[in-house]
Amino acid sequence: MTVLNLQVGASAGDATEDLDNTDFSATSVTLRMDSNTLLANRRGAGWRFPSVTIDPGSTVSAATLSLYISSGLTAADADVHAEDVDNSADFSTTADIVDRTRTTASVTWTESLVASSSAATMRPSPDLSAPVQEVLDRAGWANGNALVILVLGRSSSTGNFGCRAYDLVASTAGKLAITYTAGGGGTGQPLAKRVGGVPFMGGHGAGFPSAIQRWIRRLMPVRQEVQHGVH
Amino acid sequence: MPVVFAVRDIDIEADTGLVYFDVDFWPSLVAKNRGDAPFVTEDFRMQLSRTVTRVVTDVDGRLKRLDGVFVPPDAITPEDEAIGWERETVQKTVTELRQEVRANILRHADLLEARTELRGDRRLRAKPRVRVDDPDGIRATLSALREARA
Repeated sequence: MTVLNLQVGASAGDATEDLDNTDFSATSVTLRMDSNTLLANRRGAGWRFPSVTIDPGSTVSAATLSLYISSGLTAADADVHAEDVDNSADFSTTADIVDRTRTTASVTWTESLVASSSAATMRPSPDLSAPVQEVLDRAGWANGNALVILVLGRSSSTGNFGCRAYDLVASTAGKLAITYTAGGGGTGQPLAKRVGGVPFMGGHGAGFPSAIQRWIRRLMPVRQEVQHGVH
Repeated sequence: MPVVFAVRDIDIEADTGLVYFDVDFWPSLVAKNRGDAPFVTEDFRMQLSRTVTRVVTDVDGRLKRLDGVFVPPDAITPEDEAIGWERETVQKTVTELRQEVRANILRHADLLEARTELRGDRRLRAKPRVRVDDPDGIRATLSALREARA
């Protein structure tokens, strides 16, 4: 299997809005999910991943949205959908959370972490493979299209949790990991043909930008064994 | 029992800019140290950035507004958001990059471990094996590239 690790990479790549369709913001430094019996008190957020380089026909076996949870006083419940379109617009072009078309498939995320900004931590969602697969199964899906994940506060509880937005610290913006098996019917090239150079230990081919070579060298210290759970 | 992993290869996809990692997983450190083959090898394609843009903060973690006022992160108001924040762009350190890559791999290791536990699949632990399927021909192509370079 292959794991595609993506992260929100622009200010317009995440946003938040009250579920009564008010108070939209794509520039907030925090994003909040509020569950409440009253619609006006519920809030949600969305994250856009612009280059999901997965071929049509691929099979998703796991998908996780990870958020840097930085606030939350009581447990909250949220429904998680993907936006059910071929290629999601960013939150500047389509300044909306609530009115985006949602996938039929959804997952309930119950977040019970009581956090503060001084004890913030990256937390994974439940498995989102069903909503992500629903988008990849669309007839118009193409390798490299954009995908939006929507997390919307539910009416079944009263609570909230908040997370860091791209606009606060880009490196702690929302992350999406999709584990998949490549499909055979896509137009994209096999991964092996897209690889730009030979493996690091063998050096790099002609035309490989020197800046990228330097960057790969910076990454090499990760090429060591680490025991699971030891950070 | 902790899953152990080792990064075998690192490369960059020319057309997407994604960083590619070939990662071996063992069910335990004991299995790895005695020379067992990895029980699974996974391909990771990571979107990584060399720089990070962030709001400027002081030593107490308070955020700096465009007008120079510092605000505790737990006390941000809509008025603060309206004024806006002072930002800086800095290069990530090797340590930060390493932590980012590790975190991505460890999240997948959690998944592998959970699935193994759920299935009660002791075979994976007792008899580690090399994954034989290579649907994208990644390892075959990398091997060919290595030989061509040799």
